[in-house]
Amino acid sequence: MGLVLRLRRVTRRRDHGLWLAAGAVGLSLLALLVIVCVLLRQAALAFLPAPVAELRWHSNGIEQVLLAAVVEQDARELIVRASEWQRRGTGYQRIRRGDLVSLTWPADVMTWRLRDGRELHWRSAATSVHEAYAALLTQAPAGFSADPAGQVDIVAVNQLSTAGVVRIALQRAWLFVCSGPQAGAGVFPALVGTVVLVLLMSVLVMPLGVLLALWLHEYAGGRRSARILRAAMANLAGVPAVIYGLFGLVLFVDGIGGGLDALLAHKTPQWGGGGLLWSALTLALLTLPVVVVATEEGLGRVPDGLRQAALALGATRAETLWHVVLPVARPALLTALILAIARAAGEVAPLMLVGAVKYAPALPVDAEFPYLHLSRQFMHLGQSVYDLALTGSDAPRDTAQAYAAALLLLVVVVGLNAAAISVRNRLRERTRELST
Amino acid sequence: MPVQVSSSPATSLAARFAQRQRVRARRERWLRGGLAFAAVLLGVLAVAMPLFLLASTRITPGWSETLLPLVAGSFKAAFYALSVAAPLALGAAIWCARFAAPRLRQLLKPLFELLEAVPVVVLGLVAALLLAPWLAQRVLALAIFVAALVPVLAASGALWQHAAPRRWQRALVGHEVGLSLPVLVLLAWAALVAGEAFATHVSAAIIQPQTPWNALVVGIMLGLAVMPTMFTLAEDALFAVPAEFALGAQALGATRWQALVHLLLPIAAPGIVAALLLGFSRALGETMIVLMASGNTPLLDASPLTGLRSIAANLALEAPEAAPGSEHYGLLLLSALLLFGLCLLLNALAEHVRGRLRRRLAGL
Repeated sequence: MGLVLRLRRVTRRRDHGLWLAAGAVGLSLLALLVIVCVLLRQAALAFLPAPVAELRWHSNGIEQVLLAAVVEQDARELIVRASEWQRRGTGYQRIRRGDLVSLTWPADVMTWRLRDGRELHWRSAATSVHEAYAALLTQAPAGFSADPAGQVDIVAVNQLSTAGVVRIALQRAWLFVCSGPQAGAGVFPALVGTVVLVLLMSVLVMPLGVLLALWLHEYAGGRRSARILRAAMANLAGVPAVIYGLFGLVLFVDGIGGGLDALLAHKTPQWGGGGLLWSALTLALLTLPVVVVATEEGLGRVPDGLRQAALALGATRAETLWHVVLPVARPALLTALILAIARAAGEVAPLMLVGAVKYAPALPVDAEFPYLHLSRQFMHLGQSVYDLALTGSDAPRDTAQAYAAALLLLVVVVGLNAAAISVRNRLRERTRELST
Repeated sequence: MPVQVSSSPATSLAARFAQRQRVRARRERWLRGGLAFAAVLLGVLAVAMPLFLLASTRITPGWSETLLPLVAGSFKAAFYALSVAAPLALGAAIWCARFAAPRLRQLLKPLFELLEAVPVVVLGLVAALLLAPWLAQRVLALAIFVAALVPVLAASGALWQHAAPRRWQRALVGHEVGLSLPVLVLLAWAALVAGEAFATHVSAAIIQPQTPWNALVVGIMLGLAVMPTMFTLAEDALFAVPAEFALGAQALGATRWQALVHLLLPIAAPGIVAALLLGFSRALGETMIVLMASGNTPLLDASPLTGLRSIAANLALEAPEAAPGSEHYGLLLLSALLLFGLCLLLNALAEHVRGRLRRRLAGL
């Protein structure tokens, strides 16, 4: 009996390798959690109104006073942002801690956020906006002018309650989503560009993808040509996205676009530069395998009995497909579409080559004929994240906005994927009902 | 009054029927034609892609000096990414497929699918702006964490199995992930504290990275990016092995871990190898993370503490500026062709190995 117990103990001991596997799951979950939390926190920084301090310090023996928001601080120095009287991003100053005399948070500081993203700070105990504005004009340097209508908000920033802070942050977040880059930095054009691009891509990829899946599943079956095509598809799915971008650049932009320009005798390249249509075509190629695989899977779930019944009643194969198979497989088509959109919306690398730009002067859709401008360059959410993060002119603000744009992109893409997953699950239940 | 002579109803019906039949036949032909057209189009595209790259490629003298650091950079990034992703993905796959409670598995799988959907540019952003500067000061802490991870997890597992009451153990079978989370958090905290404490030690100077944007950061983030793909493949392979095998082994006295290592893993091995190959292929071609977090310096060394420049990032950086037809353009296309060939090779290999797994499972 004792021996058996001891043996059991020894064998049990060998079981704790299992904990390593559990640890791998735990580590992955922790990483996901940390990334999401970090994104949320950094994106919030872009919108929360920063409290404004009054700083006094010595510079070359002269005492200086400044109202400024503290952007960054460490043991040696502070980086602060004072009022931007002229241009956005001009108010930054570095102050050594050794020079600092005092740092206080006066209650009567007003902060005015302008539509172009600038922030002005001044002291005023006024209760009405007009009085506060008058006080501002007395404190502003000579030559300052601003359009009072160009305000976003004027707040007594150091007196805000928590609810007030949240309200201001939400207001600013909303403005960020629905305004353009002229106004400080908004992502509205990038959002529009992303949506239009993705819609155009869907229009291009869905018919082709569904036709292909139908041919593969309903007609070609196990034929040799179908096997070759399936292998080609699997390989296309594994090709890096940037190669698709390069292919689009060589074939669409330089090849077809350049040829069109030569044919139409355009002086300045119109089609021979990156544009909306070329990007949509490139993304359509990129997402074709996704659509075909998802559609084929859905077609495979349609019970064979339905097909045979339709054929037995005298329907042709085309009629069977159109009136029986496709309606039953409709949720699968929807899944395919959503998966393709989710894949395309998050893709940035190929777009950098074929048409997404940092700043486009006009939206790809407007009220002028032909309404949808296929050859125009456009802005894209993912590209904006990249540009704001690495090439912004006003680093502390632009990086915060890059996080906000990234969060928006994440919400869009993850939302689409979650939708695809739930549609797929519902589809499974439905086909199960049909086949019983 | 003349009687309107109508054609007999029977003929009319026949004529209409014949008409209708012709329309139906035409539709059938159109559909078949459309489907064949789509298939041919895709076939042409699949062939056109490499041919197009090949046609525009130009080999100029000195190409190897330009391309060698890029190839080395790509492999370096993919290697470090895989050394992060492989243990995570395989461990998670083993857990999910074989040890997790069914309800927990249903929760975990969509979670990993969502992780797969996170746009890489977001991961690149976090890597470049937050992880890189933060990690540059804490490489020692990371080293301590990684070194202590396996012993601490195994020890806590042993402690749980020996010291915890049976009742608790039985209640929590399949939910050990929850127990590992506090252990991991504690370990991370301890590693950070230890890293601070030894910051002035000689070893800290040796592993001080030359730049914040180095292969280590790229490896971690790229690893997280490719991990879900590998997880899904490996999990599918492991889950497809019939449960009777494990149950039989356990009935003969093997522990769950022994059944896994000696029976299930060998059966599912082709699926796991395919997962590794596809993960490597994805890591080779991934652009945004490497572009943002690697510093993009073309170097020829294998150290994780220096930067790198990969083929894909180089393409994204230089292709928009290269003039069509120039030597530079030709060289870029050559590098793209190289990357394309590598990925194709890896994919084909993975597909072949997976075919083997399918046959093996069908044989069971």
